[in-house]
Amino acid sequence: MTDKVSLARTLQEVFQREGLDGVIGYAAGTTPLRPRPTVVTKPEAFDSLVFDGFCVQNLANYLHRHRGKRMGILVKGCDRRAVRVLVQEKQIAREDLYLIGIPCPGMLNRSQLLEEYPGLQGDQVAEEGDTLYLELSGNRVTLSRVDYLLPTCRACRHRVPDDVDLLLDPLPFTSPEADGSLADEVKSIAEMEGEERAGLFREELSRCILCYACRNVCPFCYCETCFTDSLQPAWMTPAPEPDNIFFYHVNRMMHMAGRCVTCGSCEWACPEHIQLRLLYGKLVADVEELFAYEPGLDETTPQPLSHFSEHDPDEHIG
Amino acid sequence: MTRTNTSDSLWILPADALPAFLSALAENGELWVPVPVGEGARFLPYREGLPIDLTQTPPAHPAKSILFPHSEVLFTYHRGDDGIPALTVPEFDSRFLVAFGVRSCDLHAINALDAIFLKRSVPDTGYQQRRERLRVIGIACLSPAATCFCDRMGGGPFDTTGMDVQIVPFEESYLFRILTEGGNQLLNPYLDYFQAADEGAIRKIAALEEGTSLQTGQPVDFEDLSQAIKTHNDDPYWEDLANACLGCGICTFVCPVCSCFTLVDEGTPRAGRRVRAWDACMFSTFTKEASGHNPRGAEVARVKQRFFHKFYYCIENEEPPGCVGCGRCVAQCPTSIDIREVIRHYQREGT
Ligand code: SF4
Ligand code: SF4
Repeated sequence: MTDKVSLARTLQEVFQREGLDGVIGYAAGTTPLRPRPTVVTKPEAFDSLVFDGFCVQNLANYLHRHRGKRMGILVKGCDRRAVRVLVQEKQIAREDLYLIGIPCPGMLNRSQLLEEYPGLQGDQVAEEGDTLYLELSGNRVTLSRVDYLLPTCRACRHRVPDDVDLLLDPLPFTSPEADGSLADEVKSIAEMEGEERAGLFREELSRCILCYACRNVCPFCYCETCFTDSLQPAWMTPAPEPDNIFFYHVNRMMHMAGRCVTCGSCEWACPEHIQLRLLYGKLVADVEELFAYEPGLDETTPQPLSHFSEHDPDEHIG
Repeated sequence: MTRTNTSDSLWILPADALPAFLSALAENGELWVPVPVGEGARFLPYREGLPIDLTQTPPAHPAKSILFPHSEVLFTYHRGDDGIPALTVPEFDSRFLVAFGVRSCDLHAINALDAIFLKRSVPDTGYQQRRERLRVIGIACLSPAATCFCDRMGGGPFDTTGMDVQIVPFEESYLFRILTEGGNQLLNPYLDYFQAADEGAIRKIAALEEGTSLQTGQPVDFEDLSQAIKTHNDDPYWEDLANACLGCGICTFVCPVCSCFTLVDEGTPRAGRRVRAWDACMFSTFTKEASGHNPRGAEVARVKQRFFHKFYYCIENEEPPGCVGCGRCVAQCPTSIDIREVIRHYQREGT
């Protein structure tokens, strides 16, 4: 079983043996239930690493900053898939990386916990098996982990990272197999009347402040100049008005077709808790239905939307 | 009749009379109130029936947007059939502008914004006209958040700096404490909604104030802090922060002091507008030059800029510090970058 001490020891050992330039992982944050991504570059600094049910953020995003270096990186199922997409897109070279896989227990919903238990601190939360214990001033609350999983994690079918250089032992906490909750949610929205659906997204997106946390946290938003920032032509402006907000989200979404691995990082990072999983869940479901394709599962099958084949049936054309 | 002495300056408004009072107030001017939107409150113009959140401490979005909106049309232009372009500048309201339910941190921030928008060479027109009309009905903080640290930054939960009136919620009512002549003039026409505060109420409120303590540490010595930061330009600590930072705009947008903006033109040669909108020094494009060169191209340069500006350049320029301890950036940063930690890191032992 992997605990904090053996995590530090194992990663330190890998770092030295493999002669890595650094290892990307998570360190403790200062705010409740929020770890801080970190790059460890010294053997004595590995003790700072942590891993728990709040390490949601997809670490593959940080690889862009370390191109050309030999990096170790801690990967959950979704981080692993994101790394594969980035290799496929020739952003990073697989041989530069040492992948340390962590069988993912499913990540927890920080905002749900903080809403139900205001003021909850990280050291009051313990995870064990499929149970979550909260130590609230002398009173121990027992919760079921599955009830607090992030919606994207609850539906994740690829928790165990494959083809890694080292697969760590399972953690001492876990959660049940994937369920169809996200698919159901997406389906019920797809079945809404057009106006009702538009209203839902108008309402959700009306809170958007165009801070671009959702873009910047995404492993696949690595364009040197994002369309949002292009001045000639200026596709949109930074004023948080409905036109700009819709333009931004619809366009970012289009660029994610066949790439998004539903890691949920964008929704998790959003300060306005905008339910971005509904957009991306639908996108992923459509790609799967139309092209029988799930991103990040193998390097050789080309991405359906960035590839042309003479034998394409082109059924969508007239 | 003007009422200025202490006993006359304390008034009680029953909570259920608040909407009627605000509606009456809004008839004579522009009124902004904290409104629950999603999980966080933001300041919006008052409308009858709009829900108001006076509990979120502080509201997730700062009051700076009242004086310095997230986006603002500076002018519109239009070319008539005769080919002559006409420019229209938006008209400004001349009535008072009341900010209701603003907390101490945001008012210290307005003090810092004044230094930027009013006291440098040319005052900013939009900011100036709003600022001159501003009256503040502030609110005391009975339950500061775990991320609040205004007590170290010059403010405090009961601090009244920048307020014309301070309200203190207690039991099923609000105590209104009139602090300035402007506050007096503002409330005077509406005193029918209020009851004069009696001795008992005054004692209870004094007890509330006594009982609300925020003790997050000694007040920060900004001279010391600025020297420490200035001399640690190459500190590997900045790299540690940059290794996590996403370069998004959350911290600057929720900061009550951050005031960088960009100007954009929208439209066609025939008609369009010029808009000023918030920008963020954390965005990689913020300093990108036309040549393609970017003096702050690396994440670490941007992370450093944020703290250098707040704690070194501001002090060096004899302007108020760029942080007031509202803790919003701490609470909202996805990667747990914590300005309190930066202060701790560069503070001398024992201060
Ligand atoms: S779009 Fe969102 S869910 Fe999809 S890969 Fe990017 S961050 Fe993850
Ligand atoms: S993170 Fe949220 S608020 Fe920021 S741009 Fe994305 S959707 Fe909008």
